[in-house]
Amino acid sequence: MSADPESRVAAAHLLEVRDLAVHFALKRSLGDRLGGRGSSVARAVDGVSLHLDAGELLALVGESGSGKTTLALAALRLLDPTAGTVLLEGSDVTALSRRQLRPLRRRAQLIHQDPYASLDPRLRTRDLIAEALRIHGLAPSKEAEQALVHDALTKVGLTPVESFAERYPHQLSGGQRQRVAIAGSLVLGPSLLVADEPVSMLDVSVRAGVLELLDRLRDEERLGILMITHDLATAAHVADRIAVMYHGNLVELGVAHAVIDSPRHPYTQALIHAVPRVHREEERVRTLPGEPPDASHVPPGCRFHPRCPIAEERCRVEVPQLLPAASGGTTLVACHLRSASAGPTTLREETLP
Amino acid sequence: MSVLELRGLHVWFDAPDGSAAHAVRGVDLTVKAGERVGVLGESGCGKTTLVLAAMGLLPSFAAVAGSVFLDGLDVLGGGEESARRVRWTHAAMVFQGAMSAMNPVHRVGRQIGDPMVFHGLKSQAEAKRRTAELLELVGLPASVARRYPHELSGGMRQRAVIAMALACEPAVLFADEPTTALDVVVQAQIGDLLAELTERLGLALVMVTHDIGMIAETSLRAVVMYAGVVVEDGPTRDVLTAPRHPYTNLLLEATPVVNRDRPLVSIPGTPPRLDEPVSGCAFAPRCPRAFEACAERPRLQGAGHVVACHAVAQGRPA
Repeated sequence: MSADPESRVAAAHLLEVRDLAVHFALKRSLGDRLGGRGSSVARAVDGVSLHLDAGELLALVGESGSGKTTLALAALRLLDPTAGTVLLEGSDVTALSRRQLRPLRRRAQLIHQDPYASLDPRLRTRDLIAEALRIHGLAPSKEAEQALVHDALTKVGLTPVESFAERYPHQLSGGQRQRVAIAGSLVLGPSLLVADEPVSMLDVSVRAGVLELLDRLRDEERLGILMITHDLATAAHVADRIAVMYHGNLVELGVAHAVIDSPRHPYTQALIHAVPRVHREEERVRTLPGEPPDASHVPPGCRFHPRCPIAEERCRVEVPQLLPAASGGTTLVACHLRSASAGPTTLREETLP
Repeated sequence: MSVLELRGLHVWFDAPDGSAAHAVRGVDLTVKAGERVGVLGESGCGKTTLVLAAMGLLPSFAAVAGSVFLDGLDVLGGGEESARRVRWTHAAMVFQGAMSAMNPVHRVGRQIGDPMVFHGLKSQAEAKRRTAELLELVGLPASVARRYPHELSGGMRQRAVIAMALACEPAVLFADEPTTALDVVVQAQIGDLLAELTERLGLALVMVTHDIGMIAETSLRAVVMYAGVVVEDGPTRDVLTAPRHPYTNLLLEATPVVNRDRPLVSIPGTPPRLDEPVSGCAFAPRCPRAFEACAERPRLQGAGHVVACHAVAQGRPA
């Protein structure tokens, strides 16, 4: 379990991200440079640590611009991190050369958001899947290749396989296309799947099917799945743990039901509150004011303070660390007012036995 | 008093190979002044086509039958000229992608002012004053008028587009997936803004979306479409909490909900192809309650909360 410090040291995690930072250099306009305005770097990801185990689904939740996709791309070393380390099955991905990375690539696969764009429209399903095998030299013979493709299509539920294998992407529905994309990853025998908004482009009626598939792959294939989503409702349904990102930082990390049922960070609370819903017991209060953060303008102190309804003076000055929540439980929260060690002393005494 | 009236609306899109997709297959819909209607459906159900037809914005390769009256004016009867007469002044539209709905090379203020000047409602100077008022109305600083669309965030752009849509004081505001491209928090802001403004200004809102939650939060009436027809229509609360059509019911069960412990379902099968004739109830092949009668097309039945389903009409157990 993530909360147990013993196991954290003893067993290596499938994926471990430590103090990861990804900064992008920006071009400033002449006016900005003369006026000394703006920063020349966008801090897309700024010191994030998290881990993922085999057979676990971790949902990375946040608004666009929060850095969740950048974090995932850096974890796969599709982007070079500015600082920090990424351990995949114990090897430091950040220290390897491109050539050394090759064999690791098939262990960590990426599922894209848009299956209408991620599949080559001129290839049949069987070739779309076999292409990956050929690139990695994993199919010694035509027969072996066919068997692997067949196996992958069966696993993602595209049966009868014979019929689906011959189709082109335009002959498939959105849900079926996403299954083909997943089959193309599975065929390589990965241990980690990074799914970037895997259902947000799909119709509601087929979303559940794709989410169920991810759920099954986690259990049956013992895959570790890092699912990026802006949709907390989706995360609530499938995730074991939820990590909430804001402005390049993790602001809350915990067991899914704990994060959903008793969110600690004011931002998480606002996010959950903003989800439109059919059954709402109480009247919705005003939505979170202000605009999503801009990575090139990092506010001092807590990055959420300009939009935070409970911000105090220290929030404008001191950067909060990700610490156990004051109210107990295993959730970690980066908030001066909600985390245990940083809270007022009276609060700490209350929590003592 | 009704501000929008669709009568027996059919829309076909001609394909180059001579076939035609029957996208809207007979829709009657009346929207009263000040009513907020959410049209719910999945991709390909004809919801966007319906709105485009109502605005007289269908492309030239579309064939239309039936009639559309907006604010009492016949939209389809008089060709492009009659459609032009109703647009902006009687009905305006907020599109999904606010970036592509605005001209990237003109300042925001000019784009909001243009329709007023073009329709001869305001002089340049008056339009400028009115633009400032409109920006304030949608919660944007007046300085936004001097900015270009790319300088605004997605949420600000969508607010500017809403200001533009309100410029000529239409009676009906159409919104096609107005929040889909936005973040959750901004989605809620835009949804609130649309509901609040239409209520305050007394205009009718017809919002087309696949997002059930958005309809729940903004609309008082929900219309569910499937394969080009309306299958259920009633007060939002009733439709979404006590759905009567099997499709609506499954759609709700397929929607992930925060704070609710229940398994998600997916609806088996796929919607019918629009280029092939649909006989009987279009949902029957995917419907768990289908029986012999479904070979015939069901009509909308009921009072207040209407539904097109033989199983419901005959009171068959679910």
